[in-house]
Amino acid sequence: MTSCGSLREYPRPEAVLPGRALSRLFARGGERARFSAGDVLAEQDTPVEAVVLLTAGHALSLRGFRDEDVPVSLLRAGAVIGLDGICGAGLHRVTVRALGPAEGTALPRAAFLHLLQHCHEVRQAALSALAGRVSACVQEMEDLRHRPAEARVARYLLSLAERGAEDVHVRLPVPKTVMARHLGITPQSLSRVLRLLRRQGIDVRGRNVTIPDPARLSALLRDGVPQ
Amino acid sequence: MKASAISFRSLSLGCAPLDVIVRGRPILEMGPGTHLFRRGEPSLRAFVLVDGLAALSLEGPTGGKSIIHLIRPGECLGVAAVLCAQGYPVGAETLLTSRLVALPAADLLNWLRAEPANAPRLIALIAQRYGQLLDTLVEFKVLTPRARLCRHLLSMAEQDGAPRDGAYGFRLPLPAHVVGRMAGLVPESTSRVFAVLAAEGIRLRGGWVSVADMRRLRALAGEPSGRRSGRPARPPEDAPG
Repeated sequence: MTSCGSLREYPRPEAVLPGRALSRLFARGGERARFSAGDVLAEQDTPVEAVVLLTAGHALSLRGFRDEDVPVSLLRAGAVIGLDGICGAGLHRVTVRALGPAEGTALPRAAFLHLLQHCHEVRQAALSALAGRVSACVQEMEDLRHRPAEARVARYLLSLAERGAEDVHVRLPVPKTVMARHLGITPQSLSRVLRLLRRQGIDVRGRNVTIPDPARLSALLRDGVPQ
Repeated sequence: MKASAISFRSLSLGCAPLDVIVRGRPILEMGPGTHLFRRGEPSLRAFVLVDGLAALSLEGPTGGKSIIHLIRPGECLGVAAVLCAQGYPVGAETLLTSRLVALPAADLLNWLRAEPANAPRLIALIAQRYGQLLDTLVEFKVLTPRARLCRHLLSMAEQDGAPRDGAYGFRLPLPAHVVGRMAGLVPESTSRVFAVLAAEGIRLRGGWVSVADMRRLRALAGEPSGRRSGRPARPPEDAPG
């Protein structure tokens, strides 16, 4: 999981299995894989052939809506891809693309189902992870419904920061147009919000962002960004 | 709520994995507007809806509630929250007079431990709900509140047998304010949006919706008009709807 305590409520990783169960799950029979930017790790509505644990890098999950792929979640190390389609119809519910160099460990579907059948810890971890994903989805819906654009952008930036870090430098993992779509705002509004945040000391140059004081940004998130 | 003398025996459940554990339990009868659980409360039990209609909802800072998913007979509520054991992420209420079976969290968890063969089916059940919520989430990201309302109207018209184009009329299966809440609109906004839609030939009178041209309703719902544009019909909204 990511970042500082103030981010606990932010919708986060797709599904993260707790430590011991995770290592047990992928230590047996997992196959390491490397991905480049744009590689498709999962494609919506195609069969789940393996569950993939993302071990390094970032990926973006997208849900098809008519002709468009709409960003849903930013995935990072610890995210498990394919869990939402491993049972039942056996189809991926989202498309997942690597945003840059990334690494993962793939466990074939049959091996995962075998562990699910025989290991209570894995079973519980998988169910909790999926349930957590439902909660994250609901949380993001609530953000879209009830939080202003400024708060959504601030939370997104904070989610990229390391826990407890000071003077954080992050690189936006996606272009700003995709980030805007992810947050349910127009690119113009995103630019406006970033201008507001600059006045609060957040430095944004292209896709490089410096957050001199994440705690202050958290406070702005709580109290509102002055216009 | 009261427990009826009837017990749950032979309904064919949408949440079939729970069929066994549900069987034989008392059925609770509840009037419309009954809260089954509220957001943040400890997830002490899940429910299966036997008949009636219920909804998962989010409450806004001013008390307005958005409906994020309708629960129909045979579907369950609260299962993911019970398994996650971190409290209910949403609220749930009945929309119509409903009958439900309650499943205490301990019973559900013990059953899962004792019957591991059911885990994949339970995972499939939660994944299905996740997929449904993803669709709602994406609609919230991409469509304006008016487009979302039109999308619900279009869906209801199509379920009623509406043609692809031409005039059509149908009775709303739910009160208009509930349809508005499904689009994330408070009642006052629902009235305003319907007033705007009247100028587009879509009128609501006494629960009856008349559509002058179904093609127009499709366009307002953001459906591509034949060509595949790869873009929604309207830009995304900035402010919460």
